[in-house]
Amino acid sequence: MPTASGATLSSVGSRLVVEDLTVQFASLRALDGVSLSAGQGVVGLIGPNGAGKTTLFNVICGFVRPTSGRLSYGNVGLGRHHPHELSGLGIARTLQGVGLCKTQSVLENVMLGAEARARCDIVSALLGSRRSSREEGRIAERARQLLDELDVGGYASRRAGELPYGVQKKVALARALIAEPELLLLDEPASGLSEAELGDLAGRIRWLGTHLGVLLVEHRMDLVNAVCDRVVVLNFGQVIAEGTAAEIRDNSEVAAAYLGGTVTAGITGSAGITGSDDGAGPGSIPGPR
Amino acid sequence: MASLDASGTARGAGAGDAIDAPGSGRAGGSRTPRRLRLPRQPMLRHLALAAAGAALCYLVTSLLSPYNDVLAGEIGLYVVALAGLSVLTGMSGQISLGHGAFMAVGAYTAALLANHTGLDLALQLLAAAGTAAVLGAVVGLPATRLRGPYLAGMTLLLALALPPIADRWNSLFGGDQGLVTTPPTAPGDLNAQQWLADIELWLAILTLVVVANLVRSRFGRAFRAVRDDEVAAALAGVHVARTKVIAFVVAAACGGLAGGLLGLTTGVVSTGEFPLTLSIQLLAAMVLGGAGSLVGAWWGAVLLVYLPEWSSSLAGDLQLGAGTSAYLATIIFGAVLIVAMIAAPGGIQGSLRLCWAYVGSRRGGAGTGDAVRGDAVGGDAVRSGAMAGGERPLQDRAPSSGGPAAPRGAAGSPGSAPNVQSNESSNSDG
Repeated sequence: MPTASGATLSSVGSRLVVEDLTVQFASLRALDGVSLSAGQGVVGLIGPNGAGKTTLFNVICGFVRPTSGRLSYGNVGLGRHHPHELSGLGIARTLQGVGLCKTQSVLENVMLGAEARARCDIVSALLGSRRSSREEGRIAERARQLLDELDVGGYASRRAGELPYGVQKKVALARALIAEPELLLLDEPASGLSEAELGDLAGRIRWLGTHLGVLLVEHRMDLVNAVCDRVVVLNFGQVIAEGTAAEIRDNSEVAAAYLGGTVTAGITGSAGITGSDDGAGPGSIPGPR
Repeated sequence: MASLDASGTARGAGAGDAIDAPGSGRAGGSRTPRRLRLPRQPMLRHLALAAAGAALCYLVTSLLSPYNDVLAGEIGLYVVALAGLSVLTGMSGQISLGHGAFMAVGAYTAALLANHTGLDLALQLLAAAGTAAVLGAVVGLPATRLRGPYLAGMTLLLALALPPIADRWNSLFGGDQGLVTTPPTAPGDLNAQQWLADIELWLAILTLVVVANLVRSRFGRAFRAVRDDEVAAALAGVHVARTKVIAFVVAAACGGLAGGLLGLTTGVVSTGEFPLTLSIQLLAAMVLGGAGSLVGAWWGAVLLVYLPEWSSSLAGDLQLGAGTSAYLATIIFGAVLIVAMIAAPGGIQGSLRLCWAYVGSRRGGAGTGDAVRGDAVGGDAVRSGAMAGGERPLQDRAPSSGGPAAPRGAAGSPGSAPNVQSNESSNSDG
């Protein structure tokens, strides 16, 4: 089983490599010697609350400076970069909430994601030059295309804040994708979604994983089990396990971390989606074919 | 003028412009000249509208009395100032209580240049805008780290600290007496007031066109994103600090230009022309007109110019004492602001837009119909997407970022197969 994902991962050019990363907040060691890598395919990052998942994302994104350790993407060293440089490097991130401008239209929200690719300078913007308006037209067209592909094209001119949560999440995903990332960081994409939306999301993440790298922080184990080629488990800032979803499920140390060490049934108990849908209902995670 | 409205950006900058542009030349040749049509290219369309507006301004000022010409000119210069403030506070969300300071810098720059070098008027005003823009950059840099009340405090300090500088070096700046300015000489038989009003209104239109271009570009999008959520904006690739400084520079340049014009209008540049209340009134007028709307700048400017006029005539009618009548404009301004913030937080322009949308929906049901249709389309799409499991819609996407699609797509399927398999096994377990 690991060979399948291993073969996929080796074929990608740029990899995110984290080596021996430590982040110390005053007396709290949020990350303690964490090493992991992510290239093509879906890597899940799980762990109980406070395990350091979001801190790791924040270090990758440049919001938090590492205390020690190395961080690189392709041949670019990270760790001292600013958040806005990230999308230019080919890394996009969706936020735990949705992070949309609620008063702006869906289209404008998606177009914002193309900022790192936009080349129009301030003078041609002030003069309203043909170059500026053409670039805007191209970005808008690409944004509409992505919204259509995510099945939310009908909302393009609506205000983002007045839309259902599931639609907003898709808009946020479209905004990340318009930057044409090679690595996509998804921070709890399943939170607040219905079962049907979750099945839809799983299919999309799996599809994305065949084209680019996906690093997924998620609490819903049913999604993690369904989409991840590899799962990394964090607890108290340390990597306590790494392997395929099945291996992680059978790992007693992981179960102990989640359930306080008393239950040995593992974390399959939370995989409600596979039990309820039985792989046949309209909201199910689609099969590989 | 509706095309200058800041809020219509996404629609205005839509794909239609780019798609239409290549074919427009050919279509133009075969088009029958049935009715007047505006050019489709945004820059040409703006220029056409601006030229029409400039001609209209000329017509209006030639009909007005010299006194009313002065007032019309003041409206023009306040439009310039408010457009800048609208970019800074309304669009990029940085509150400024020091906009009057930028105006003062522009006014002194223009007056000093006029008195010492005899530079051409256009260059004087350009230098006024440029000097203020430099100050804007200097102020904007520390402002990138400040927010809300702290930024308000810093900009307030600017408005308070600049006038004493003029008093300190009074041999250069003229102290309380200020610097005397000479209005531009009018061509032909135009009177001086009308010519100055024309210049001011034309510059107001020019400023609005330029600012509207900016607002419709990716920079405007960055302004709004930074205002709404800095973290999300940064993750989308927006350089937050640079965006904030750009907003400050644009606002300051507008303020400087307006200040240069104010100096010409009043005939004298002194510290008394730029009290703290000016900065506060500018902010209030911007909010009343409609924060973040360039059309709202016109409403705000009209209020700024005419409210003192109306209130002084009202004070005359009520036979109030001189002391009371001096404060009446401020009192009315404050009262209107309070009522407006409760009743119409979108300002005048926001309220008009709501009315317009309401009338539109009542008349043909067109507006709501569209919205309903959008709902239905979206809803259908969501449902069918869920049904198909989401694999289908993304499949035809060109893998521009991921390299060759076929081998990876093939590799992806076996990669995910074990997971599904293990799901089922876990299913039977539980």
